[in-house]
Amino acid sequence: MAPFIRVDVWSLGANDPIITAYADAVAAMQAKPAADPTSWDYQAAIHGVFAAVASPPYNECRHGGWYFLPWHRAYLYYFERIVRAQVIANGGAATWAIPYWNYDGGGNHNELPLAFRDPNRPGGGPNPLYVPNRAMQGNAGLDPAVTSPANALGRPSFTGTSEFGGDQTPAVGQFYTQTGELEKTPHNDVHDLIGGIMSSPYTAARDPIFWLHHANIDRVWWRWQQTHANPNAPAWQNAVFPFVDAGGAPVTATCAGVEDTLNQLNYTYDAIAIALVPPPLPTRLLTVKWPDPWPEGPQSPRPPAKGESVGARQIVGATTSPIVLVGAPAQVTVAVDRRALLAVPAAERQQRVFLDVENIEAVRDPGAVYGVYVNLPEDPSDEALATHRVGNVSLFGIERMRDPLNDTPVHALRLSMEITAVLNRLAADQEWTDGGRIDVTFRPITLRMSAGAPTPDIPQVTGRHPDTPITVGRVSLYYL
Amino acid sequence: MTGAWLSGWPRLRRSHPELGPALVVLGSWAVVVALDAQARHGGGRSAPADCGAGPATASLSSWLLMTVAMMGPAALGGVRHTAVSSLCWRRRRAMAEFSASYLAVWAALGLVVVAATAALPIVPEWPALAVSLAVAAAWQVTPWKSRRLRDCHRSIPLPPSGWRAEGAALEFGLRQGVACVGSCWCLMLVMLVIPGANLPWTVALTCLVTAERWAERPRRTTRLAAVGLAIAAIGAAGAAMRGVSPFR
Repeated sequence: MAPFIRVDVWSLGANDPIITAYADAVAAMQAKPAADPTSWDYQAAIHGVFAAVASPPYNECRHGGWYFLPWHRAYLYYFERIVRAQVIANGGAATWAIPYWNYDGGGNHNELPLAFRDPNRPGGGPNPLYVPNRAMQGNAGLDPAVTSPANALGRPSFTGTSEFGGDQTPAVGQFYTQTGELEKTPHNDVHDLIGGIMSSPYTAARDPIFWLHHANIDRVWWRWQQTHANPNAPAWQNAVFPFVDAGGAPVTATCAGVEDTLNQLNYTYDAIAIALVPPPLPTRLLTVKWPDPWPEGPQSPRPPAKGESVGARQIVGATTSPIVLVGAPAQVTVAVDRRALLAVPAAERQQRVFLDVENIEAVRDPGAVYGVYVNLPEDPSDEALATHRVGNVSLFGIERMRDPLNDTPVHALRLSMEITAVLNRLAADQEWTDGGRIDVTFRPITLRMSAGAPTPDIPQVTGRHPDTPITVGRVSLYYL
Repeated sequence: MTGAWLSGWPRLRRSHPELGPALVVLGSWAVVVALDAQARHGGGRSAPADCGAGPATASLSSWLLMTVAMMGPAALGGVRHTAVSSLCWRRRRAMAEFSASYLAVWAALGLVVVAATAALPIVPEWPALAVSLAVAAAWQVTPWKSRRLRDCHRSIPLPPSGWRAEGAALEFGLRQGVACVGSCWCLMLVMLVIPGANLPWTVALTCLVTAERWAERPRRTTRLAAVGLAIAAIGAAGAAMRGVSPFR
């Protein structure tokens, strides 16, 4: 059987049969009783729900670690089979596959796809793809700082908190804080900025755009896999998760069973290219001398040789007081401790620096995203914002990290980002001359309004809490 | 071989700064085992409650010894977090501060226990054991237990140096100690009324405390432990009803 092909939703017209078939299927699933495993309510509950549903599986999503990508791939795969069965039952094409939303595709692709914006369908009647309380309405667009998967795609390894797929976590429990780069950006950021029910993992899958967002995340993993390896640890490979198949029957999936989309799951993506890896460093960046007290040497990350053991990263500086973010820029200075820095033996150095944002607390997810910048000048240009940014902070799922609904320990949210390449470039450009300190700036990243006229009759944005304070307990530097 | 191991020791210490405190916990177990052997073969008394030979009183030193042995494996998570979050040159101090305030919380409870047992010496009979086990089993399934156990996993920001760093390490140890006492106080009280040689009970309850702290599913572990404690309570109650005494 020919593989199913997932296509870019922005390559389709608003009334393309793929989209209208999806809308019809969503309406049909929403009309089913919640106890039906193929209903909209039940499918959303598999990801997350506040109240227990008729029978397991529910509250099964995996976030903040290395199961995030395979769990959501399997979830999307079985959801797609359920929707396809509904599409066929509605008289649609048997080749139907879920489209993806490539919000990083340029032009106005960062805006909500047209079919999801209007409360009513073109032919009349309510639009099942429309959700009224999204923060993202009309022509509001996502900032490239939250849509670009470039940072994730540039990571060489799957496993690690600042690597592509996240670090090791137990297979049980929904929320950990070993979040990988793709899960952070664009995944978490886009969830929060779309807002409304999308900003909570316990309601997100009720928004029809959820599935197109996750198809895009899956596509980025699919692309990364073409030149990188997934974990081969048995704990990852053999982890088993429950789902529901097209007929409503319970099924299970393993990580090893969803690695190959084409040969194991019989689907692939259309041919739109994703730039995979940043271009090689210019020569001027290969021999940069970092300011004192940082050790000398070509300051590009030195991956360990095969068989070489890697030492643990060591803390070399941290802030002394918490800071509170309330929708406005805030800056802290991290003093570099010379004694701690020079205590890392030369033989163990990989010349890598990590910035950790630790003990992040908020009573609820404000639905806001903050960019994290290093040595950002005052009144920065767009170019400066792009070149000084080292990552984002968003709080998708923080409520459940503090207070899990299921049987799992609590976790303090901590985000780790590697800043080696940015420091190297700043040193080369004389924008980091005092090696004894690093200034870290948090700036809100908000929706961008396009030049076009806003869609008429857009309801007021509700359900967001942009003024909910976020407390960052500590900002730290680690060296390896 | 030995040379290679020794040369790898500094790196191991950097990766696992909690190794030193872990050795202290191991040492406390050596003392516990030695005291138990002495009690069995030499007619002496075993820690903590001297409960091998009639009415017992606890001593603060034996209480602290048992705290280090029994709570140490669970507390190593907090010790490690303190260490890896601290600059290398003040790691030992930070771990010491954490441990001191953590133990201070247990010591405060120990003082109360010492005073109470001095005024009202515990008579380690089966009824007392049955009651204490039943109380421990009941505590395991309360929401307060769950909350305190969750608190064992919470951390606070640790500034890198200066008085704020010292204060934060002390505060973190205090918070962890309070959470640990809140979660495990009744298990330590069981230790006070356990009849006869108590090494097997010490091992069993330490395994329970450690499993709860490190479990991927803490609620399930806690409830399983509650079942085990309830069964033990029924067994002790049965022995009491039959008039069996371990001291005659």
